[in-house]
Amino acid sequence: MHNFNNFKRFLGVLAVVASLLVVATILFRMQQEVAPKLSVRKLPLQVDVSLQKFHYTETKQGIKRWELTAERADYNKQADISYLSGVIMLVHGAGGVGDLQITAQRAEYHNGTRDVVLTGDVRGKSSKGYQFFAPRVDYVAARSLLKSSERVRMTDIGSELEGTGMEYYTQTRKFKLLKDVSAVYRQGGE
Amino acid sequence: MRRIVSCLALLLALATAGNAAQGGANKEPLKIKSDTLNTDNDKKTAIFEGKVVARQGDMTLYTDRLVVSYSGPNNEVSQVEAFGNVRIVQEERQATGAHGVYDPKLARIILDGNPKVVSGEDVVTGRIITYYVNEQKSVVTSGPKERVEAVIHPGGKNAGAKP
Repeated sequence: MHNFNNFKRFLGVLAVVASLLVVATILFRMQQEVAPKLSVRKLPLQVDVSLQKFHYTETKQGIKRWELTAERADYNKQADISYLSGVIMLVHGAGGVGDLQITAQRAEYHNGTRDVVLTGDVRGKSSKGYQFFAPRVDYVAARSLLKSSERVRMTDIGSELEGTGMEYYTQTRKFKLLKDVSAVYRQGGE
Repeated sequence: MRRIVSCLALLLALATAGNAAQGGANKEPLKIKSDTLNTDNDKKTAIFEGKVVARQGDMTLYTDRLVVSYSGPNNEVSQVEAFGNVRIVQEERQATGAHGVYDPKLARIILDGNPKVVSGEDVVTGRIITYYVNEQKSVVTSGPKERVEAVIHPGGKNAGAKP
């Protein structure tokens, strides 16, 4: 009789433990369904698509005109603008004028017009050896024109040019400094 | 005789012998200020416009429009051409004209368009004035219908430093 009572008590404890295990398992699964782990970083507001290692090539009549490479591109569908960071723009020269590479910290690529606004330590370097520096440069795709309203400095072998406002035609490599120009030419190309 | 007269070149020493020792001004950097600048890398030219002031050593050139041509692997300035209201000042001397061409290698300026060199009260005019920057001397050439004119004031305060 005593043994029978012990067995009944053992069965009761076993039933309670089993019930607790069932409840714990249900609660654990519910917890997982409510808050699943985030595997993708949340996009900032106003950004619909975010791309790493962005690369875009503009061609005209089958000929490469310019290429845009960026570490990251955030696309805003409503504004139809891609916000780029870590930017390299390579403008291919026609008629032997050589390539022009422009680097900038940031850029806005306007998908509709294909214009590019380059900002933050903008530096241009041509394969012919001359360079330019400006805080902001706009590329107007329809005119193959780089323009800036800021103070621009240009260097070449033997010369340094500086002025406020620039117009630089990428296909002909002719450029204008629009006001307050100063230039130094060193004889001997030092 | 008329041909000889028409080709007469009047050589005037502009400075004392010591000035000749100032050679090498053309090795100084050429510094230019202007309102605008247009450059053409194909033609290797830079066009400065609007209140242009160009300085090299002790020489200063003022003009409306200046075209700098450069050439060679080191982009050395091969020619500087000034258009409109050209005025060149070096120490007390001043040369003016409508057009001027400066050759930095030869350190020589050729002025035309009613050119005039003034030093103190002394004045020389002609058809073309060639001004040698390092030697600070000028050669004045007459035209077929015009003769070189010089107004010299021997007793003036600038005596000994003729234009």
